[in-house]
Amino acid sequence: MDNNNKVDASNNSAGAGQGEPLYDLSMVRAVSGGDESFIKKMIQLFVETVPPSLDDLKEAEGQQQWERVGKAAHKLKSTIDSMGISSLKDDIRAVEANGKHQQNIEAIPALIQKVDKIVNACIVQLKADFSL
Amino acid sequence: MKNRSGFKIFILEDDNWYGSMLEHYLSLNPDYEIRRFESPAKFFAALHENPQVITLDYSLPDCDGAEVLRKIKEYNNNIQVIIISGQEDVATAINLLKNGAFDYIVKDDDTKDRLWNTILHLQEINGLKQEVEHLRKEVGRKYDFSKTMTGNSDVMQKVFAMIEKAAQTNITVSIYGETGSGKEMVAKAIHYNSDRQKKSFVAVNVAAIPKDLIESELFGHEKGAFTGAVTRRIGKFEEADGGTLFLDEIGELDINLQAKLLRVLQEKEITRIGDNHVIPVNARIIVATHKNLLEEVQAKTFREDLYYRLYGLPIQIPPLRERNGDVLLLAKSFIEKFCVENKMEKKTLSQQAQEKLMAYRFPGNVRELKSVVDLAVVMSDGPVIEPANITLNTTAAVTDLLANGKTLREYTNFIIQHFLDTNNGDVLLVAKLLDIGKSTIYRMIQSKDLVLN
Repeated sequence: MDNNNKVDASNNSAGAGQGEPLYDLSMVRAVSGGDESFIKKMIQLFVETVPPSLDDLKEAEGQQQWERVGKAAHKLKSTIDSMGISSLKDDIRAVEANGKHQQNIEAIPALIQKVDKIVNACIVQLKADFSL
Repeated sequence: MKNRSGFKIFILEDDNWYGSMLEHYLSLNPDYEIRRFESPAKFFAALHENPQVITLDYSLPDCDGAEVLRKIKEYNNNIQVIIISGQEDVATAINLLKNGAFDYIVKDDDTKDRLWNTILHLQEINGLKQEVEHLRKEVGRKYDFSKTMTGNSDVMQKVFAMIEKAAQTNITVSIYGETGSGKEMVAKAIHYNSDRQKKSFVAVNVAAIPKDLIESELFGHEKGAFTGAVTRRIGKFEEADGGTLFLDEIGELDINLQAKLLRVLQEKEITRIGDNHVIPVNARIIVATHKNLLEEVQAKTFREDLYYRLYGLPIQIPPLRERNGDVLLLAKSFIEKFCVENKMEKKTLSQQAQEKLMAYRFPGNVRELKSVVDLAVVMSDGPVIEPANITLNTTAAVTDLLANGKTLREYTNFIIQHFLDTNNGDVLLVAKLLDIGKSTIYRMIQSKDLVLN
């Protein structure tokens, strides 16, 4: 994998002081066609739209609405994948499958906690890297 | 974004982030006009704009992707739908494809490339469809016989009347006429003036296909049905489904296959070689022959039951020599067309050139006239075509004949043989043309002075 894309930012200070880089913008860059403003727009959109989706996921879990949990995870899945948050690739799928099929329900809270923690850390990194 | 070509793509995706990404990526192609929708309600409200392509997120909240697909297809089956789904579920994908989705793309790292290529592919198909539609209209115009089939003679007026009758129904048509008299032209005129004109006109020259291959050509075959059948192939009957199947030189069809053809015509269904499945076919049948099929029936080379099944509406196309005045009419039409097609100045026939054409019998009929005229246009230097520019096939033959110093009997044989050859071996016609008894000709054939080819 191209290391330049592992953590991406125009000022190359990606993830400075934030520990391991959590996202990889390879795909977003490929889609952008070289349009930097588009990349920034997508980051902004991620920062703005993902927290409400996470809230929905957590709320569904709190109310033990497992099918809704599966749907919320499904919606987050493609965004997480496209942002290259590879550490959550399996976890978000596990939440989706467990919720949808109502199996291994006991594992869901911990998985959601992990998703929440990493996505929020990712948002912090993105805000720092892109000066949002 | 408005653009010149207006290849309109709708994106229905509830995930704002993912939808934005798709919208941006597809808009990198300046030929595309993209509209994105997050809710099915707004999407359906705009469907009257008839986009060429829709990318549909399968998992919309409170809405079943399969149901959205069904509604789109119900509204306009020509709109192509590409499903983009986060579900890697093969059964769902197969179901959606069965129900008319063009492709099913899973949201992953390859989504953008697959989507890009799929839409390019669809654009290509769309272009081809438009081209086919355009060509179909062109062909339709070409075979509007009232404008393009030339002939003022009474005999041709009768043919035109028969074409009109044939075009109004699905009756089987049998066309009789000498080589080059325009049998296929008549068949096409019937097809392109009938309500089957939007479907295929499929022509098969039975005489031109080896006996061993004709069955598979007509009825198709399954993979491995015989040595060399490396893939499944549909036959001409299936190809012509909804349209017209023109079987030229039907008199040449192998006697064994005649029984199978008869059954197909009766049952209106076929089975491919190597397969047991019965496939219904709805092809209008037009057959043509230069032979007298009734004579073939009497000679036991053509099945009587098939003869009557095919007889339907018979159309007899007269040979050019019997179409009084049509030679010049056709010649002028061919000259005009050739000049236009080859960007040449308009040319005319001199009086002597016209007389030369009128005096010739044209055994090759309209086809021969066209080639003679085309050559004359090329050979003429000025705007007027002179007799010297017109090359007729018999000129050389007659010169050779007279230069050879034959006996009277040899000359007689030569002339009658020539007439037989150029009149498809029609003894009665040759007897009439040369004003001799038919029994004289039969006797000469029997004594091997003449040969029937």
